[in-house]
Amino acid sequence: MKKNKLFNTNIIFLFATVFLIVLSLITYLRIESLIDSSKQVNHTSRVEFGLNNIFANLKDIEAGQRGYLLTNDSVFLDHYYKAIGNLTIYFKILDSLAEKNPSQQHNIKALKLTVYKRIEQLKKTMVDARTSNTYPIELLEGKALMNEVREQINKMETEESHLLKQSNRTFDEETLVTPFFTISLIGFFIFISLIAYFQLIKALKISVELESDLEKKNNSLQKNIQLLTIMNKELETFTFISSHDMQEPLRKIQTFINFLLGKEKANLSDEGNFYLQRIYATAKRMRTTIDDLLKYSHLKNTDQKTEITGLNGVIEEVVNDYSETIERKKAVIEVNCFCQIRVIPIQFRQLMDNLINNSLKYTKINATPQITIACEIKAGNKLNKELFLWEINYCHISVTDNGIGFEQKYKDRIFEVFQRLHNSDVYEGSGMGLAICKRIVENHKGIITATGKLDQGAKFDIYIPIS
Amino acid sequence: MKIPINILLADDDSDDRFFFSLALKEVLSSFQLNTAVDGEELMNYLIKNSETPPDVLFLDLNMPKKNGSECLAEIKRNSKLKNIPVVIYSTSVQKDTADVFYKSGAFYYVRKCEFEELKRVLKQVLFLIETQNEQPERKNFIVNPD
Repeated sequence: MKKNKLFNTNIIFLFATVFLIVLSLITYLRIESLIDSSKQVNHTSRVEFGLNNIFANLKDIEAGQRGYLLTNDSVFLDHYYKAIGNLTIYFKILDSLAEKNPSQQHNIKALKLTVYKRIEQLKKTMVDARTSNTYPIELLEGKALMNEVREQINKMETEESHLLKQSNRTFDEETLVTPFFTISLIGFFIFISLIAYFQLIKALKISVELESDLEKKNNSLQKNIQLLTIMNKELETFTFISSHDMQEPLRKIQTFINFLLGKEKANLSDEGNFYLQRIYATAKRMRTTIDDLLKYSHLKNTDQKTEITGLNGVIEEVVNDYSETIERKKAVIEVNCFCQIRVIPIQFRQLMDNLINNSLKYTKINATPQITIACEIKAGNKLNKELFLWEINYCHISVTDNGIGFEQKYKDRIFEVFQRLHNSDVYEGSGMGLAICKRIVENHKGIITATGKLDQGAKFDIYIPIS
Repeated sequence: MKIPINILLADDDSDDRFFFSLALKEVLSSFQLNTAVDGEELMNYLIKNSETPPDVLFLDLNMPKKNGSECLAEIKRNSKLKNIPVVIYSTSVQKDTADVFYKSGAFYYVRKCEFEELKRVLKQVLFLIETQNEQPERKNFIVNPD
């Protein structure tokens, strides 16, 4: 719809431009034709002037010849010759005036012919009169020639005035049509400009409305985000408080069970003792779950400070905590981790604890458990482009074991809260361990991935950015 | 200090009162334990017995009618009661709230815990109060942190 509006506006402006050009062109042509008309008037009067002079000079020649014949005074001959000279000049002028008019050129030629014929006649009469004293017999012939000259001149004048009339008529027509046309064009132009103006105003209004609409939406989005943050925080607090409060009755249940299993043990039947053992185990599992849930929710609530930490030391400490299990399972743990990076020490310790705990828990019965922990600094541009930032270095910590592994299709699910791949009767645990790991790594703006194959071990890769 | 030691416990939870007295029995050969089940009862008892104040008061925070911090503030305002050593006895330990109680003049903070741990902690706290009877450094305020 917006595109359409833009298109309309463009069209309108295109029309306006075209009409403006047409208008300019018409005005220009109109001025041209005005100039042409005035040129034509000038031209006609000049032609008439030339023709009149030619006739007058011819008359002068006649008069000069007659005067000379009557008086024999050479003064008349002066007039005679001067007029002949003048004729040449006026013919030249006419020639130049008729340059673009073949019909008039033709007429001039004919006129010239007649005029010079007349002059020749006059000359001949003059010579004859000298030699034979015969008196003018050319009068009638002369008159006829003169009449012809006059006719020719008239014809030329008529043609010229016809041309003038024609030019005037075109001019008149244009004078009548042009203003009408110009005014309608101007009117149309104004009309189009107005439409364009209103379209623009409308578009502007819409854009202003859209802008305010956008602002409103943005505001409500901001509010929603705020609300969401608050709700999220509330949820975290809720998780924290509820799991905290659940600990209370559970602690009492455990204490009472302990009393029963202690002082009252002898008073219970074997069956009663067995049930009590089961209750104790269940309560303990619930305790672990709640503890882990608390830990998990606590990870988001605190913003603890990071410290430059030698990873090897932390990992060795964690491994030491498991010395009993390691001895019992005859596990071999190899730690090769000499990176010093900025981490939240308690959280990093928890992370390694959970991973080592996992590796020690999910061991195969008939094989010596082997766990390898290695660290290496890697450049982001050498790693997967989709997951890592190009310009940052990462500390890559890998925990590899030869335990029971898992099917690769569960590689994401194992990091979710309360997701377990095994029955808790076989491998105890709350299903929170790897979720906690993931949250810790995310707290460090890092990435954790798991690769595994059923019965062929698991590998956890952690990438923590080094700032 | 008089013998037997006169201990006052303010806690609305009957189980916790039970565990507490049981633990005391296993820790001390002789003692006198009085209990209050809410804040008001505690304050009434203290004011009524202001001439013979307890040797130590274990104070739960979350109680009906008047909570632990209100009671602590009242005790510290009362010239006859303000010298009673107060031990906060509660479930949650949060750093900022612990700070408030330390500043209000409580001696120790005991987190409610399992029975065996409770016995150990009670023994420790009673010994400390008997021997030093003064507010410790802040870092020793919480006897059994998380």
